[in-house]
Amino acid sequence: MSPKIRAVVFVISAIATFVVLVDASLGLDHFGSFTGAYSSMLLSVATKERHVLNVPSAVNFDYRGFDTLGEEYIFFAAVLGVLLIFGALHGSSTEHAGPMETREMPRETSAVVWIVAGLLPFLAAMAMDIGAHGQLTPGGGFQGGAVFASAVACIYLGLGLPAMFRVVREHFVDVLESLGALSFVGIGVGTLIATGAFLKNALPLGKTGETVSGGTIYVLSCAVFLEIACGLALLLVTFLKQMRKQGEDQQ
Amino acid sequence: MSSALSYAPYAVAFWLFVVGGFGITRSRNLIHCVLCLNVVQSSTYVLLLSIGFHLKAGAPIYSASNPPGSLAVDPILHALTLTDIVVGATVTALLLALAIQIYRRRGTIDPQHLRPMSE
Repeated sequence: MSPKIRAVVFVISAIATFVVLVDASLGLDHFGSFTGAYSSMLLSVATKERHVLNVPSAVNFDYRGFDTLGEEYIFFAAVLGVLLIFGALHGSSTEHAGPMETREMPRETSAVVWIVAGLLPFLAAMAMDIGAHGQLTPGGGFQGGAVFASAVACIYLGLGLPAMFRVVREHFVDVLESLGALSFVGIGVGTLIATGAFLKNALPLGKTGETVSGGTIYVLSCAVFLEIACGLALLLVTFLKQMRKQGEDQQ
Repeated sequence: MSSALSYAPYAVAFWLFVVGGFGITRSRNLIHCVLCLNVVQSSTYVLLLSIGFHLKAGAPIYSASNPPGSLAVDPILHALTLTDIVVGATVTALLLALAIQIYRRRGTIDPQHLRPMSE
């Protein structure tokens, strides 16, 4: 299809889509006046029933916990897909045999190294803080895991690839990630056996406002933290390894 | 709020959707194409959050200034947006991996030079 025909087809379909979207939006509530029945109900019962302050967390890990299971496995499948595309599942241990640095990398100045060394524990602690307080403040497993992975990225920025490969051992991280994904299902099966309903909140709920509260919401959030942190770190290492391979191929 | 202005957030979402689609059809680079898909996806964030918004409500995360039981915006749409962001990020990673692999095999990432089944 030539670019010209493609543009014409796009303009026609874009106008058609836009008309349909505008027509649909006319049926929506006016901006800033939405009150859904389901959400109003959840807002009024979430704190009483589940002892949490962060209602979206309660929706994610409890009321619609099954959807989050699907979301988690989309993430798991995507990480697995990237590893498969790069063929990183086999023979990754032998790749380490050669010299790590093939390109002339500028050496990091000691200022960068020290800044990163200072930043690392702070970032890791903040990630755990965000991840552990998902039921009280904006945060949770997904957000905390992403911040934790950025700490891993900091290792690369400050200390270079070899240091990062030393810290992030792929087989180990892979197992941890799978453990995170598996424990979500495990908790679901556990609650199924205990209460007869999958992912039903069966643990003691604790006191509203305390760190350990919300029952399974807290535990599931920790499982997601483990999976997201390890999955993103694994993605990062896989892409960086490809970058290094590209450098070797060009030489 | 006047009625025309009250549809403006939805219009922003539709604009992002269409302009991202335009970027994809005109793309000469697969990485650019993936980023355009991200623009399309960000339209869903704007749409979801603006549907659930309430002018007089606070965040659905209760605190001292916003005690449990006070008016809050839709928590379900916030949870959906979170799902959306996670899925978007992973799909981006997967597509970028495919783009790298296509470059290795074909030596180009211009979609117009890539023909199906040409090997």
